[in-house]
Amino acid sequence: MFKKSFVILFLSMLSTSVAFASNIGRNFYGVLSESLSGVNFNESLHIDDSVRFFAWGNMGSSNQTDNPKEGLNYTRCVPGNSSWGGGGITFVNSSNAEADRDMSAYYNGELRLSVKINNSNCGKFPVGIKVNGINIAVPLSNFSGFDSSKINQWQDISLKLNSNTNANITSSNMAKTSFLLLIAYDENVVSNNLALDIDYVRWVKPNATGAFNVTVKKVSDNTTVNTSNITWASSNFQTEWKVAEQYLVLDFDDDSKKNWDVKLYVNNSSATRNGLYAVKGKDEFVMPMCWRASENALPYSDGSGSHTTQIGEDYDGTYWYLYDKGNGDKGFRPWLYMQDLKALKTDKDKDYSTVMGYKTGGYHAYSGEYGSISNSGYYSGSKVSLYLGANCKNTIGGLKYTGNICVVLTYE
Amino acid sequence: MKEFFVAGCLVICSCVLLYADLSISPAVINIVANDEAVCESVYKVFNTADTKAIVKISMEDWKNSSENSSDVTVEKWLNLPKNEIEIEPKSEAEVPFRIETFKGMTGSVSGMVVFSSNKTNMINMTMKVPIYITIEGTEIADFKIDSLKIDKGQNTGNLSATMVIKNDGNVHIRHTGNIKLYNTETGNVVKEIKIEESFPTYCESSRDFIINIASKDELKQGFYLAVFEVKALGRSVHKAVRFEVLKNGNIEIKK
Repeated sequence: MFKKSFVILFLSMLSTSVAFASNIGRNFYGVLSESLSGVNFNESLHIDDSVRFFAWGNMGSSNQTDNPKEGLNYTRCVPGNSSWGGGGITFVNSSNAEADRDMSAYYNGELRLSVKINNSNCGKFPVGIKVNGINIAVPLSNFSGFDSSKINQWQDISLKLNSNTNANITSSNMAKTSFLLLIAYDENVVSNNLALDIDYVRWVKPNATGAFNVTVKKVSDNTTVNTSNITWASSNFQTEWKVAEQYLVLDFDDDSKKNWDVKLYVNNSSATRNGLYAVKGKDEFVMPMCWRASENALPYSDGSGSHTTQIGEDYDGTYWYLYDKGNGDKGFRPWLYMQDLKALKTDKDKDYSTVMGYKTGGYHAYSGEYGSISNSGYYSGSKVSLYLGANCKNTIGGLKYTGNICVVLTYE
Repeated sequence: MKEFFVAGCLVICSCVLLYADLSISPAVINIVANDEAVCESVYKVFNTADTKAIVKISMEDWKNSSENSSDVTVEKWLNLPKNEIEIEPKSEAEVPFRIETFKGMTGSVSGMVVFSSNKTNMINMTMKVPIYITIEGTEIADFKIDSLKIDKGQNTGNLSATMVIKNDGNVHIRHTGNIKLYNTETGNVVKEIKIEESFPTYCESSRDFIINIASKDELKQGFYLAVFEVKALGRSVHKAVRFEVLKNGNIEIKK
């Protein structure tokens, strides 16, 4: 007879890297982007550092949503009638005042952005950055890739961040960067009819190539942990669906690849081993697992309600499904059943197992189609928090449950 | 029988980090070559983490054209001399590879080079990067837009198109293109949308692509024609779909 007091689930786990302890460690640092982590002004995902839009003179700025280059939003800058003005996205301190950060790691890298102009004269717009208190802005027409004849079309442009562009862009000056994007205007571009649309603004390190970063964090306090295990609390023994005590943060740090995805499944060599399993003699015991990709660490709330770590299960007359039990709406079904690789036969199966990936137009968590990404929109970032759950209802004390959980990034 | 519990045992692996925070370049390799050609190069694998990484390297079959479907496995044309590497923190390692096509090869073959953690870990982190080989002079470019559908997103209200590309050729394609959206009542082009390169459509198969057409309420009530142009391998194909934006914003496809 088994004594049923608790079970500890063993999962060998990656130890973690804190190489990129801050966003500034990123190869691709999002400034105005819904797919890249960074400061992400005016776009809701992954706001990991404090910034604001400062404007002076009479420059106007407004959020736009029609036909963005990337994500769902972009910003339109319109010069006023005065002879000078400008604005931009700057780091701020706790008093919301302009502040410096050390961005010297991006020296010799690039400022990349997408722009749309409504008049060829927009090429005169001075655009740049602010370092060590010095405004550095060069005409848009000097940016690599800029074409003044492309009216009302998005174009991808870039500016080298080094002293060849401007003598004041030095590594030491960049150690005191305030404005990540600076747009200025003077009498050359003053016109009521000019508008400069900007989107997908990012800083890129020199020779940056894409990286795939994985971090393990504690559910209880979101701190990074150096652990080799994913565990479920012993109090969960013989209870239904429960979240693990740790979760993963998957971070695809790249801005150029449009042909990738990350899938999650177990590879236990049997379609019925859809989670953790234990073998005792001829008997096999399976503890089904589930997973959830989230834009933010759980729990949090937004316009669509509460997003929690509580997992419920129900039957709709045709299918069993999992839902966010703490949300209260059984129609909100962010948790997905874990599948074994052997069960992934059709494209639909494979989509179901996709945690994150790229679809034309932006990064997209396929699982969002099933509700796992919050209802805030179609786009997720290239960074998601991945939570694991297990149905511990039938766990047997004394057994060691194991499983080969695979996180697979595939380029095509 | 008395069962002993593994009480309180949270086994902490003492092993070093096996896989996390890696960058692999190039991510995709495309080679057009004759049969009996040789190509040698290296992958650069950068460990961006603060701990040593041990990475296993292997290969997998991917998508071959039907001429090579059954017997041309990746091992027949790809050689990876190293099957495991150790990379110091913040350091780079090179993984050499050699591709050798053989006499009589036609169409295309492809394989995945797999960089993976040690299998003894129960969580396995893997990065797969493809190599595509096209045998020059034997390629057949034959593709079309098989179907088009315009939908309104349930959550966002945005309009998106689902375009199915059917590739009957023997090489994969990576299409680009554009969409011209006409108001059929005025004949004016109301919008042009660029189709950017993304996933490939593999030889002798179909693939769906979802493209954002318009944001919520961007298109006024009325009749529209969306003309799709898709380009790849020096060819372009067209297909159009007519639809009506109803008063409530819903979409109705017209014949």
